[in-house]
Amino acid sequence: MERVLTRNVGREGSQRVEVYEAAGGYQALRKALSSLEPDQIVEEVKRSGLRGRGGAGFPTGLKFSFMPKQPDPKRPHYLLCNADESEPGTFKDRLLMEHDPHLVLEGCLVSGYAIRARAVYIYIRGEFTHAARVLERAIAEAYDRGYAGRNILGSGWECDLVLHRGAGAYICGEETGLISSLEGDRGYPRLKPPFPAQRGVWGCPTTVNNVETLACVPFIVERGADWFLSIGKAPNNTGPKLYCLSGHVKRPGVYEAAMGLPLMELIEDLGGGMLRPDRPLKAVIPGGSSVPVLRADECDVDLDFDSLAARGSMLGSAGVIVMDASTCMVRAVERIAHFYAHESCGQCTPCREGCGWMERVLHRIETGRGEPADLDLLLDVASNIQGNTICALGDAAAMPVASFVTKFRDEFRHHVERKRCLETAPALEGAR
Amino acid sequence: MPKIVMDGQEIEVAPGTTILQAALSIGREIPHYCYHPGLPVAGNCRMCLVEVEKAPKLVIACYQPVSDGMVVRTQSDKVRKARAAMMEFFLIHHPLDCPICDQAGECRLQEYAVEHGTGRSRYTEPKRALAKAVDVGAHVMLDQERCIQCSRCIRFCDEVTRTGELGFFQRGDRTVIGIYPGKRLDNPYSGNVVDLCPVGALTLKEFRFETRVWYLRNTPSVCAACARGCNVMVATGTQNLLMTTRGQQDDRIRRVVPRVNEEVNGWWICDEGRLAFLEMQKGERLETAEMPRGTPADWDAAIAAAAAALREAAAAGRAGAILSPRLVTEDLYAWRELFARLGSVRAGVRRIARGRDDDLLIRGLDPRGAGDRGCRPRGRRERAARHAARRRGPALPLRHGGAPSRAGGEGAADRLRGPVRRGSGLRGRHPPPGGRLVRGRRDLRELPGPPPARPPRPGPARRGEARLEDRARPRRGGRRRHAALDRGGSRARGDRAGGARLRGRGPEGGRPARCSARGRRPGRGVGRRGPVSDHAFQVAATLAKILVVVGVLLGGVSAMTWVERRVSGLMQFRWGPNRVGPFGLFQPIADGLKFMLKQDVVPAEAHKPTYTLAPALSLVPALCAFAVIPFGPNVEVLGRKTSLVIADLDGGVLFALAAASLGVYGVVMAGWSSRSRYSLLGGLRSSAQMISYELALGLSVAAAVLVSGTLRPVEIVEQQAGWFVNWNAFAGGWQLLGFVVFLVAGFAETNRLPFDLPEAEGELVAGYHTEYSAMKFAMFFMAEYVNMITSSALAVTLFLGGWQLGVPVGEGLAGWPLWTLQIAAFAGKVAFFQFLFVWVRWTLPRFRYDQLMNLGWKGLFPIALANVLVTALLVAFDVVR
Repeated sequence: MERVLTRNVGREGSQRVEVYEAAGGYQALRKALSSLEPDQIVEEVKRSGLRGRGGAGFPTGLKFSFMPKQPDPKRPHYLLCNADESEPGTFKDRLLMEHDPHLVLEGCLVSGYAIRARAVYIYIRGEFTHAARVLERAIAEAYDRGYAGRNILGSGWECDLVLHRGAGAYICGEETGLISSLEGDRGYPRLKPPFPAQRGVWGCPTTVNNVETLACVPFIVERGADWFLSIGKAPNNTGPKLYCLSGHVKRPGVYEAAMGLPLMELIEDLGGGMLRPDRPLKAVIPGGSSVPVLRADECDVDLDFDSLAARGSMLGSAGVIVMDASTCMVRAVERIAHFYAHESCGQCTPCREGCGWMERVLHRIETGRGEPADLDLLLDVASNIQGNTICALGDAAAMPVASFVTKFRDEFRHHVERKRCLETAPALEGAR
Repeated sequence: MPKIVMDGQEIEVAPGTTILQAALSIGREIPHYCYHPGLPVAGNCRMCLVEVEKAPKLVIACYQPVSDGMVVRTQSDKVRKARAAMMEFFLIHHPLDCPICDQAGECRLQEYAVEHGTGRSRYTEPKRALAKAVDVGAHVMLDQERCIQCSRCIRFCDEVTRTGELGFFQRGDRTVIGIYPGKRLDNPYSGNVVDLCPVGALTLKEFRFETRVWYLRNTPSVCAACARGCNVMVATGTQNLLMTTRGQQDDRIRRVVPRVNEEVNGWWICDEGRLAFLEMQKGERLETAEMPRGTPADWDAAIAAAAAALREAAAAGRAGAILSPRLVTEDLYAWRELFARLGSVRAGVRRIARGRDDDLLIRGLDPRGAGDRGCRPRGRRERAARHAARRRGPALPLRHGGAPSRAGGEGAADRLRGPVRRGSGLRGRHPPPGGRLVRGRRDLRELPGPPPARPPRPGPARRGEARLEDRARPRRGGRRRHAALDRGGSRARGDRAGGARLRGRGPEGGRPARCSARGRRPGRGVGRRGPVSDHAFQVAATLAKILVVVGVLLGGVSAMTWVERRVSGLMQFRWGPNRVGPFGLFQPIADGLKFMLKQDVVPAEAHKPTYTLAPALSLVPALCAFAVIPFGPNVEVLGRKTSLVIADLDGGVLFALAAASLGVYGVVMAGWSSRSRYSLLGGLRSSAQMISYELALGLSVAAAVLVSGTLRPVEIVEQQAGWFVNWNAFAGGWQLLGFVVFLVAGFAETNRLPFDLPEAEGELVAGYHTEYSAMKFAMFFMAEYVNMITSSALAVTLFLGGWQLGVPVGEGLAGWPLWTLQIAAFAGKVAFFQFLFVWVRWTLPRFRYDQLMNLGWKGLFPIALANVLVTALLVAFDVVR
């Protein structure tokens, strides 16, 4: 497949607007403003089958269509570009922002036009200092060239681009937490409904989209929904996708491929295979740390929303974390649980108290002080969190714990009984 | 009107109603913490999760509006499991300190734990430790550990008062509630957060630890602190359990909380109304009629006198009235009528400034900055009114139903203008018929007149206020002092002017009862009998005895250091000290100089105050214990008798034991403060040893006390007069066994060989004083030697006849020669024990620790116990004395 989203990555001076324009950039914006109505774009995106790349996989066109058709002058529309990429194992948005900022901006502007936005806020993770600098420069260039600000490209549409830097809280990647943070409050997620399209930032209709999602929109506008549908598995898992490969593989990194890339193809062909030939594959987390883990024997799966859902996992943010036989699953999930206990915002009870509890129990098991009853306790605490929280962070914390304990129960039991790690790879014996 | 089905019951509710409200409307409760009808919904406690048919997940009842045809289940298994899970989550870090928590009895956490919890927690990890008593504001204390983060208090401060003092800090399970830096929770409605708090995290300072809520009786009432008329619940009741079980009731008000009335005050009351009761029940209330200056009188006479005084003043044009607008309308009317009929007098109503303390409740406007206006102006005005009244001498004190007053300023008398205002019972400006309104201070100044009778009604006026006019002098000092003086004065009511009584310079009758009591207390001790010179002699004698005893003890210590080494030399066939002075006699002086000149090293890690204190705490109690030991008979000096004991205490034996026991603190503190393992272990060993052997020691003393029948050492010694068989250790008390036990235990108490394990050099370097140097180090050794001497003296006193010679004293021997002999006998006996200590030290090897403990607990202790029993039987059957 040709590189679409990453076509400019690695190109000399790819951050500069001239280079971007020379490679055919901002044509989608021109096309949209000159010949398309916002609703036509929404329809086109709907037809393309584009689903949110941030994790939940919600159809983007449908989300756009929730916005009111006629903006109330007192309640302008806003587009929020969620660049708070914090999911462990995920680093695709950073690549786009650092290497092709104008693609991100064009995506923001085209989508903003589609929802009649008065401004686009790019909420960028605080740690992404380089990406923020690159984007800031790109925004200045876009204003200079008339792609942003008043009367964009002579169309009479006014839209501002604002970069807002977060302070590095995972919860601010949750769309309502992001809105709270943007408004200057603690990054506490809000009760839904009302959804952001009804009452979003400053009480105005708002759409929140992931960087990669927005980056897909200019191509749909320029090349048409049919082109998009031709990539991947129509009708629901379409388009190009960025996969973040990390862990025990020879060549970790971001790979662009069609939606529905087989997982083993990603690991073996693109990733160059397992890091050490004597250590076979043990498990894969296919969508960032918050999704259920896959055992090695479950890895014959395609990386798309529906295939992974059928396997009981999720595509999430496509952060593929590969673990070989040397990995201790107890330790791995303890680290994940630590992350969620640290990042839980503390607003609602199950997540606030439960994440820390799970972390402490896992820490106890990992350090050889576990009890046999702890395994069922973990599953019960996880199930008490899951579904009972305000936002999805509780689920994100519960799912990996529940899946690790269920799928690698023997290893956990071994940890409890023998106070040490299970030797799953016979080859390791020789290696030592 | 949407219809929903809740647990099989079909109900019809208004559109927009939430599931929770719908449930409440049919009297069904869905448990909740964060939801409060007066606050915006937060939905974060997750306690009110219910099952809605066709919804993928449980929904929160406090937020989910009903829709037509909705089927809600509040009691399904799924819902119960979720509630139990939430309760478990709430309690994993909760301190579970209900027994000391003020919320107990009205705590949602308790109630739901019983109703919805599982009864036990599976959480076995360490609990989070947070601040327990954070002083967040003038009236509110915060316990962060009890907090369940329901955010009600935060929402109250954000949305109702809009003062925003409180917030969440940290995140995850480290989240705590606190005040923002530089802020205090001191808005005039701060008390409401205490009512809002469903648990015991926020408590009212004025109610903390006052009583248990189940002792309270609640009476619905209306707040009397201002004209708003907020609905309140007044809780009265008793403070302690005993009174309740006796069926008594103490009808003091314990607290006032708001009662919901959406028309008047919503869910809130202001702090001033909440705490008005404190002021109300502070002083005594007028219950009987009194004539001017407090003479008791019957009602008829008092009313007649008041009427006469009023009429006279009115006739002279010198009567006026300042009424409180807090009076009920009928009272105001009656007062006005009264003054109208009296003729040319002035009546006015004190003004309430608009929208001060109850602006939020009255006007419902943005109360931002309400804290600045707060409730102070009222107090200031009131003070000013009092002040004005005082300065002008007796005016007409017609204050009634007064409001609580707080800090205030002066110079506000000018504001007394404009007497009749809105907010009072009399709206608009109604000049009273026949009178005229009082205006300004000038008018007030023209209001002299004789002090009239007190208001006839015993109800709301308080003595303290009613008596204000009596005070010709301005107040000095705090309010409390005056209140005390006032009460004293009222008890000893005489003919003298109140001002004189207040100064407390009057004769007996005018003085507070407390003062006179001191004079009557029966005296005891040196100064009780006679003239000053005798007293001075006793003081001088005591001082002299102290100097001599301390001198002899310290001299004995230095002597002992020489004896110890000479005797050990003798026993080991070597010389011992022999270079400094004859026979090495000046060795102790050399030692002393060395100790004083050596560098005093304090370890860098040591806890310096404790480290410095420890040696003194070892030495001083050892010296003190000697104070009760008689070292000679009663002697006559300069024609006056004195006993040869520093303090002749009735419980002298106990004092000696107590003082000696204090030494263990010196040891433990030395061990701990040195921050050294050797020191710590030595200190611990030593304290364990000393405490263990104290038991046997105490029991052996108990037996000796049994046979003596007294705890007074002087008497114990006197009883052992005559032949030496009469001593307690022998036929006098059959206490030979007890004596031996005491002796052995004494070795352990003084940490001497064979029981000097705390200093076991092979294991602990030098035990608890490893890290000490120079004089501090020496002080531990001085303490050891003083202890040896003291415990020997105690043994001699208790068992070996004290200063008694052991032979009957002949007729010819008396006076100074005899006394000298007896003192020498005492010294000799003690000296023998000193030798014994040294003798044993260089003879027996050191015990192992387990041997030491075995001997103490399994040997000496049972023996001493048996000895006490046998002795008790002997005493009971009159075998001994």
